[in-house]
Amino acid sequence: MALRKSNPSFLNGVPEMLILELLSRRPMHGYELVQTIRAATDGSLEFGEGCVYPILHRLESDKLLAASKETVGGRVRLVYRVAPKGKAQLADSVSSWRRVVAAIDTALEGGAHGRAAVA
Amino acid sequence: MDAQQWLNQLQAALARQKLPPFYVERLVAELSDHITDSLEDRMSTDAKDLRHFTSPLGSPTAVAAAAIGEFRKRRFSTRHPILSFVVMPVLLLLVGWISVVLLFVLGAQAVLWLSGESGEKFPQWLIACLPVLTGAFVLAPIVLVAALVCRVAGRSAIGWKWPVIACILLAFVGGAALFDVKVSGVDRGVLHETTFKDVRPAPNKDQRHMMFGFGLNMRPHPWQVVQFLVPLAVCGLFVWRQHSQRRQHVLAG
Repeated sequence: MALRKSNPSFLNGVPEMLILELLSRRPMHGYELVQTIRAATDGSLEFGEGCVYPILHRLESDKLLAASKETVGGRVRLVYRVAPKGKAQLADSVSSWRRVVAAIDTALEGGAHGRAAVA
Repeated sequence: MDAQQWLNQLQAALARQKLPPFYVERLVAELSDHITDSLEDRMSTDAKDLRHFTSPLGSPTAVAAAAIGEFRKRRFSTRHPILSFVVMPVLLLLVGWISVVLLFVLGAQAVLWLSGESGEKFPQWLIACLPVLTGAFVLAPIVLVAALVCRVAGRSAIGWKWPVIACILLAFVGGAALFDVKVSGVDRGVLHETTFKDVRPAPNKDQRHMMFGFGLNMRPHPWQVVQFLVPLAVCGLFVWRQHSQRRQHVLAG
């Protein structure tokens, strides 16, 4: 997932955090999750929809998500939901993200001591 | 590109990445459902739409690259290949040999006790089997560790280089291992022998001993050659199987 076509390294962990957050609101299957990401981010993020599934599989393998087969719209689908370990991970990730964003915002606005005067 | 073409190309790309078949099957099934959902969403069966709706998915190559990247993050062996394919195999081999020595000694004591023998002699039937058993005990840890390394590499989709490195290391460690096992009750007293000639105790038909060490000669003992070749054979079989499976997947795709 990226704001532009690349995925800068400082965005590592961001797709996982976004997925955990959205799935913590309600369980979803892959297609539903992709549509929800678009809606929740107002279409700002561009990503190959197919790349979401490997991330979901890894999160499930790490026991952050649980997947189960459910009938949705008359078809059997694999629905993902956040596991207890995933909820704890999400809380940590969100806390770290907010701390980083606040620090960067402070730096961009000139820091605690204001912008340095340029002679 | 239409849906089936896209999925076929994806399947071929995933097979080239040597991902396990169960993983490929699941990913392709979910993406197929995704494509169906996308079509239903647009409520279209227009041929032009069928060709274009795969573009939001990304190219099959990009999805396969994401799949192999995420799959490798799951495994300890892919996150720490040196530990998994260099350090651990040698340690496991040493632990395996130590276990084998203990098993051998305990087994010999158990046989003596069960057969009601007291004193120094082994039952004749055991004496007849012992040379083969001793050779098997020496080779078994080498075979098991080499097979384990190859299995871990296969399940991690890490490619062939790391298991080959591990098996070459096992070949050198295994080939350098020297075992001497001698018991009384056998004509020559020798069950398994490599080259401990210079340090072997003076021949005494009533003595039993087991010696283990490492050494390399310009003219290795035949057992050392076997110990050297076995992990290479296991690795060769693994690489050949991987190659065959990949060809089958590519042809099927």
